[in-house]
Amino acid sequence: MNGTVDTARDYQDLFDLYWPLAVGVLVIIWLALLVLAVRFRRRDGDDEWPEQTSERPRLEASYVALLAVIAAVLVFFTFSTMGRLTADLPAESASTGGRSDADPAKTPTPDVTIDVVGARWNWRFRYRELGVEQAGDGRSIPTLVVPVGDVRFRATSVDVIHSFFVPYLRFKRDAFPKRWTNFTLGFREPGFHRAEGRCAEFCGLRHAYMQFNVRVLEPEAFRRWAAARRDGAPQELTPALDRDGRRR
Amino acid sequence: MTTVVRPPPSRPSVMGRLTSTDHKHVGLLTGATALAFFAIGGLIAMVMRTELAQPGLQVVSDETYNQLFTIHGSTMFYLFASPMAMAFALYLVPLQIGASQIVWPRLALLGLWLLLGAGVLMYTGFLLPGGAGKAGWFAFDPLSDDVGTPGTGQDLWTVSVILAGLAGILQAACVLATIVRRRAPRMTMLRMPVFSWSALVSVLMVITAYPALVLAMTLLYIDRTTSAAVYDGAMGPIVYQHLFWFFGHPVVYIVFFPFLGAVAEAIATNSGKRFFGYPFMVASLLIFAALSMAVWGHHMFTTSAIENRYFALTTTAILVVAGIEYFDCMGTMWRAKIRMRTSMLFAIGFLALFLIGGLTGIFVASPPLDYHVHDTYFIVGHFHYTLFGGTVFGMFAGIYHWFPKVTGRLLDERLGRAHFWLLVPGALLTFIPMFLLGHDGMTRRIANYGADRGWQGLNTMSTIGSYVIAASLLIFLVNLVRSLRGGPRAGDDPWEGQTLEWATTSPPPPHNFDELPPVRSYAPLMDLREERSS
Repeated sequence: MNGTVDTARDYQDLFDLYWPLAVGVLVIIWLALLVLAVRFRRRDGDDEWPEQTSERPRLEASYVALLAVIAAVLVFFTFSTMGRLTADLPAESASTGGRSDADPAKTPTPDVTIDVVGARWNWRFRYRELGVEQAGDGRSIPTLVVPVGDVRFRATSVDVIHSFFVPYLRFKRDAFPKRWTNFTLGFREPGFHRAEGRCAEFCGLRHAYMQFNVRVLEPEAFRRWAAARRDGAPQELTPALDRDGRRR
Repeated sequence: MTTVVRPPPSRPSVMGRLTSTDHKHVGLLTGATALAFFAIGGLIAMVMRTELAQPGLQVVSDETYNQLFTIHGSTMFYLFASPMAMAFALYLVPLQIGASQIVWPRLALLGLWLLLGAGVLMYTGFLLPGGAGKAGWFAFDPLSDDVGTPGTGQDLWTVSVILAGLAGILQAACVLATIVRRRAPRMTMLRMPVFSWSALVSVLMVITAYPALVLAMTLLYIDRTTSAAVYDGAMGPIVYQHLFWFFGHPVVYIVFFPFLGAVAEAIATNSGKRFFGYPFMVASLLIFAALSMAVWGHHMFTTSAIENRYFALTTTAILVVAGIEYFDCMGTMWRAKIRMRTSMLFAIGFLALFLIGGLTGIFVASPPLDYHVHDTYFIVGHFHYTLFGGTVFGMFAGIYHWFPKVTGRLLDERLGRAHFWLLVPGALLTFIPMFLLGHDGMTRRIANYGADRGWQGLNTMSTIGSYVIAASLLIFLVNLVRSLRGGPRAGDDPWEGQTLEWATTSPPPPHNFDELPPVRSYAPLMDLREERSS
């Protein structure tokens, strides 16, 4: 497999730690509340005041220490994932600082930087090295075409803040006007994801319709696609969401 | 104890009530105003949920939907939750610390008037051609500037938020000064009831955080209405977010703490025990408040403009102090003799439902997890468990607990139980599906989604849940009106309370106390009872 960046796996690794822990704590506390509410209900006719223990400092201090350990463990795993997480780095350092399972012997990924430009309410993808551009119009959404492997992105906006969100990669980054946001994404499998990309930051009237497709191609197919686009082949556009919730 | 015979109070005129500087009148009117806005914000939410029940647009246009979610969020934060927190504090803190009046009562009253003005301005937008504010309750620049969202409605919204912010600062200052200056003899800081402590940390945060809101909005107003392009630089939008979230995160704790305090009082009273772990609780409240001023950046993890590790660390650390509060509430129930009154049901409901918000809060405090769920329905689910499961359930615990003190009448327990047992499934059905939708990539602030996404079932469930919530709140309204018109007399101390407000009449006289019992702990009335029985 080409590339070193796998945002979906970084997410899943942490999810697998945080989520079971959260569900476990939820179940324990809910059960405890239920037991307390049932077990220590006042019986009818019992007019005695209950025993007034109002402090157990040692017990409570040990409990606080336990909580601190849990917090430390969570922060440790979050930080170590963030240390591995190469999405924020330019691809050059990503390839050295990334995961060890990358196999440099495979066909190298085409060296691509894609400029993502958000504009109310469309996406524009510029491939500067390739001289290619993809952009939606009012009624159609564009397709982000990428090769399998790591791809560098620079995101900006021509007007308000947008956010470049690809749910299946478990990743989003904001695109600001007058600023570039750099990140690197790894695409693992070839395939087509219809309307999978979307704007996550509220940007006004047609925010809900500001989407894009993602097409992941094998490196060779990507080179052929880029050459064809340069020679004037049409870009791939699909209908935007309409007011009935359909894409036709 | 001596009985003081007093002539029956004459019914004050409307104008008399609106201009009274008695902290109880100001608190009550602020609370009533907040409750009215809660109802309006809730109705807006039902329109939004109805629109979202199925893909496509059926009920409102995209344009209207943007106004609705903006005004829903703005109403709930600026006009309901924050004023309600201040209302509880203004009414109850002087009573709990044995004060006869608050410091700066006219400023507190001004706060109420500013709040009413803020509400009028925000809703006037709906009458204008361009509609009401529609840049979200956060109004990120540049979407909120005069190019991004032109129109008088958005101008009015901006001024409205400035007024609401000033209202909060004024009322918080009164509460803070009252706690510092007006505590009864021997009411030391460490003998203040837990509710008063929770109100204290809340107003401390208001004083620290709200000026950032007023500043951000004032600059935004200047940006919108003059040629001074305040936020136009490359870092302008980031600066705006820093200012906004420096207010915007503490505010969720500001509207949480007083209700946590209310829950603590309800649990202690209904358990027949002093609140457990008082020193830990006080310390945790203070540390919590300090930490909460240092977590705002976790709203900006996806901007690539801040140090994510720092904010992940401070945010995760909050689980330690929040855990102490659970331990102390549950420790109070341990070996207690619990009377399962409605206030207790809501207190337990608060602990159970806020927990979902708290645990998912730890989840989104981890940046790599937030990169996916940020700005999706996962976040909407998360903060509704903190604000609905937390703030609203805590508020109801407080209302059922203190209604007899404030009005002299009891709420109906049967209707109270019906209210509770509908509200819990309603809150679960409405907000649990949001976690699944958000995790599947459904973004926030959209009126329309693709029929091909498979999101209709969960959205319909959520919409049905919101109707269940509405039915439950209708029962509460009936209960409220019936009791106000002729509920049974409550007497001074219907629950065998532990704190000073239960040592005066219901409702308390203008000067609050004819006679103050001695204060030797944070539960002075428990001390008296023990003294009498021994």
